[in-house]
Amino acid sequence: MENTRESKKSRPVSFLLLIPALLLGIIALAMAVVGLGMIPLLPAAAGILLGLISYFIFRGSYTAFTKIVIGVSVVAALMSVFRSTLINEKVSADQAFDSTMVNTQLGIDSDLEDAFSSDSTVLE
Amino acid sequence: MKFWRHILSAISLTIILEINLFSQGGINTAFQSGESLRFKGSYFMSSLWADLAEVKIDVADLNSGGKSLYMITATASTFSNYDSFFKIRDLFQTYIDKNEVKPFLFKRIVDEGGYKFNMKYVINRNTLQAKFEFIRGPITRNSVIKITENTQDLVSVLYYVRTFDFEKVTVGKSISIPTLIDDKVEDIVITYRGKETIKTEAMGSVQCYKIGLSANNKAVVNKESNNIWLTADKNKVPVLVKAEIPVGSIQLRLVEARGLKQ
Repeated sequence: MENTRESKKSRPVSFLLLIPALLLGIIALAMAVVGLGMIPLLPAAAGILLGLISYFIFRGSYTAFTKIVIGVSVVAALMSVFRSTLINEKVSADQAFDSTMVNTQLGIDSDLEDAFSSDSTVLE
Repeated sequence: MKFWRHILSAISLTIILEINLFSQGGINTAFQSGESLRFKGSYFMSSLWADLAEVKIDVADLNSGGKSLYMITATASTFSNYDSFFKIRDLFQTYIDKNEVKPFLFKRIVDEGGYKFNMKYVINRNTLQAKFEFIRGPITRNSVIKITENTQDLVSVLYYVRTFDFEKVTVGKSISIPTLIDDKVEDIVITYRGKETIKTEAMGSVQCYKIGLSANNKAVVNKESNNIWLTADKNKVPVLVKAEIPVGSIQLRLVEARGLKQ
């Protein structure tokens, strides 16, 4: 009877840890999906830590939810490590940029002629 | 009295020698046409990193107005997964004298998350003036900037530093290189910080010259932690660049080097 009461009392405190833990896990997951290298490990680690504190200190309250919260952060951390170590990032082909590079050659001769000339430009 | 005169002469001679050793910079024995360097650009936060972009620098020959030039093209492009969030396609191009590593023309075409502008310097070494042109949408700005004999641009300064003979420079010595940044000339201070071994993807572990870089610029946070490592051989290839920015730090790591001179 006493234990049940204590468990009910600890529920709001546990909830205060689990909500930020879940948010951190979701942020980490979003960052890992985008592919921000190893940086998602930061929020993921914080999410896991808060989840574990809640799990061990407030045993018996929101147990399934706690496992889900920790799971989200673990998935985000694994995804982050996997993407950083196994996937080779590439630059996508960009025709507009390629044509920009070609266009830089236009007018080069006249610019260089200007650079080589001995005509002095009046300083403004 | 004679003793002090000797001491003063010795100090003056040492200073002149140091200046001359750095001034040897400009005679190119470090790079050639066909050299291509590829770097990975990473952002660091609390010792964790994210590879964000690729930086490529290519050297090519160009003949114009009876002069032999190097056209050095540097591009910075974000990796494909970042393109939909913040796409960067930057282009820097400099045209330098083959023998003296002095720029005549510099172009910068910027596209950073939709923020676009074009910048150009036409650098006249006869009149020691640089014509500056800035175009952003309908806005065009022009000005003329006074330069000195040694004025460099943002790309040529790297290649100019590669021509220094660091074996003859004592650790801790500095030199200022006037560099065209935006619409003015700012001094970039190069400090030789000794040798270090750096592990690279492209070349394995290599001994490098550690060179400190600093400038009076808002983007530069901790002047001590902005460094570039050049291989301690004749090529002086940049293998690593580290710089601190207001939020974290950035790194450029050499991942591929082709067409090296030696």
